[in-house]
Amino acid sequence: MAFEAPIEASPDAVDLPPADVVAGIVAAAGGEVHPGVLRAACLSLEKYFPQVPGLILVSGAAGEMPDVLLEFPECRMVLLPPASSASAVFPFPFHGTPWKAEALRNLLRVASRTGARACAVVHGDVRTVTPEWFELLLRPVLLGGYDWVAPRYHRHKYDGAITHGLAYPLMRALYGLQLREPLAWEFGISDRLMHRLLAEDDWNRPPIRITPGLWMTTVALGEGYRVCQSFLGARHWGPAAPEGGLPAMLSQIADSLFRLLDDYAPVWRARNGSRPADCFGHRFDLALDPTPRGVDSMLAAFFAACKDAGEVWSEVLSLDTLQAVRQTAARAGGQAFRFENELWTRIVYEFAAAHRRQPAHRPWLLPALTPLYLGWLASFILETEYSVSAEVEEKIESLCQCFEHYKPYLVQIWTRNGAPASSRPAGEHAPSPSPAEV
Amino acid sequence: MIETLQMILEGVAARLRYQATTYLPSLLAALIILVGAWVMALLARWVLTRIFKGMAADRFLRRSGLAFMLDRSGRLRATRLAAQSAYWLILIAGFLTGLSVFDTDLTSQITQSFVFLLPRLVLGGLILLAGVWLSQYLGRSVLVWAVNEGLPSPRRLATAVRILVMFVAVVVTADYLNFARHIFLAAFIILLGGAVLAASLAFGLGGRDAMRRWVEQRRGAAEERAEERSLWNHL
Repeated sequence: MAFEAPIEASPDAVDLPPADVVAGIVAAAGGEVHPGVLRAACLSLEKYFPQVPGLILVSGAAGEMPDVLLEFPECRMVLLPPASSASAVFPFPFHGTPWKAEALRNLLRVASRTGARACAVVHGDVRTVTPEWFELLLRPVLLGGYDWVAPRYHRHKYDGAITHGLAYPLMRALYGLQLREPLAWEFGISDRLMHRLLAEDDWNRPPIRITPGLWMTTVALGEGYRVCQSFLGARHWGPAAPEGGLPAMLSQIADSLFRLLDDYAPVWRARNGSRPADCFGHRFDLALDPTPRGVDSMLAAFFAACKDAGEVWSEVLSLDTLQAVRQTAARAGGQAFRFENELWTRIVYEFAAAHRRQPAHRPWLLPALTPLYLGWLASFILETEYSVSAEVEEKIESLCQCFEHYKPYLVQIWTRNGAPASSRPAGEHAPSPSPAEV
Repeated sequence: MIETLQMILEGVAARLRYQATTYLPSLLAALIILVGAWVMALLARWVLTRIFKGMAADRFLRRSGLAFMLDRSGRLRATRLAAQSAYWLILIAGFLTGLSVFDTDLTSQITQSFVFLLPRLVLGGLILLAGVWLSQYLGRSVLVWAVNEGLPSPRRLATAVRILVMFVAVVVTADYLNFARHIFLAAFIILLGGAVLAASLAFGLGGRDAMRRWVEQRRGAAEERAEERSLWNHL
């Protein structure tokens, strides 16, 4: 069969080839796509979905595409231009994908227009993508009737601390499903959910623009779509050094989480407990990397903040929590430093409530979470320094259970309008669980 | 002698009678107006508390952080604010009306001055309030930023920002109220210029070595962080 050149189309194009499955690729910031990703997409469609018409959609592509199609003459590819500059307006630096929401929207619009029943989306600069990634993201939708397939990666135990220390426990406690990667860098999606997401008018509002994957996961979980996860293996993150530093990155992730908390408050307030998500793919363990350095600088940042940021924290945290933070800092002694799960849970919940209560203060309120996060992370690293992955999983599991246990406390402070947490009398919140419970 | 005493007493009685007939009715009228105003103020406060919901205003107070700034418990509600404002406005109006009953030069002057000054005082108060809000907001932003950046003495930095913003607000208010405007403006210029000069000298001479050490320390920490980034990613 003759090689078919890629079609360059606008997101509004009408003469698109029909397809049942779409392998979507979001190009990197410069418009490039790694040849390995394109090859994996072609191979996947050819190997795993030979009976159904498939299409590769590359969103945000610019410049020359790798000549991978020469190797796969059966593959059809549509290139969508980079997102307009309008969506690139960004409040302050983040991890470098401000255009992603629009690129994703274009991709889903075109995928929906081709009549696709399932669409898998990966990033064009992830070098560890294999054909199985597409298969694992598409098959649960096509054959299992799922609407949203979240990824699950094999990570180093210290990799993704914001995900396993904040996003995962919080989303699990809220919506009752144990999805390990709620930020969903890669995902599979059904036509039903695509229509729902495309019905959203404003893709430029903060939670969608900054963390589209998190928003999509929340919609799927909050609106009753069928959700599962697929174990994809290791994800090479590349040089994703956050431009604005950790405070900007953490602030924006927390901002998105807390805004979505507000949007879906009636849903999560009615849910309790959690259940494991259906998981596809094979879980395997890789050798652990050496312990990263930097715990000392994290602890130094935490201790310095305890000395200086008390005034700001007192606007957010309850007296009990603030006292516990100070006691944690006072008790610290090198390797013995411990930041209790219960304390971290209360901090996250109280920040969420303050975020809702004081919108005008968000610009200084959210970065104030950074030193506390560093304190928790330093403790996590010290506690798991010699742990194997199963022990690290146990540690994360106990944190998640703590988040679930304290959910009534979140409901309580969420509904309390007005009185700042700092003015509450001590011991007013939910009863503390015994150590055996957490 | 007795006649003289009698004349004096009669004169006193006549003066007292005159003053009583001249001022007592006015005083009584003023008191009645004041009591009436007080009753009206109470009534207005009661009615406003019950019928005025002020949800949008409540939302503004909460979202802007003014509710927390004006009342640390955060329980300040627009209803209470509106009711209290109406209460005091009616009471002040009643007091001024009561004063005007006397119809003397002094009372007229007091009433006029108050009527002219009140809107300016209110606006001046609002400027000061905005200054307090802005100083708190910027002070906290600077504090959090300095803590996250590991700058030395974050609290002092935040306090300096707060004082500066408040001082600007006071200068603007004084200028608006035409109250010792030259003194405040001159003080502001002298203090600001002095602070900039002192900071420049401290940075250029006294703190040169300290700053160099600090910048080098920061550079070292940044390099260390950059190395760590490739090893593990927070996301």
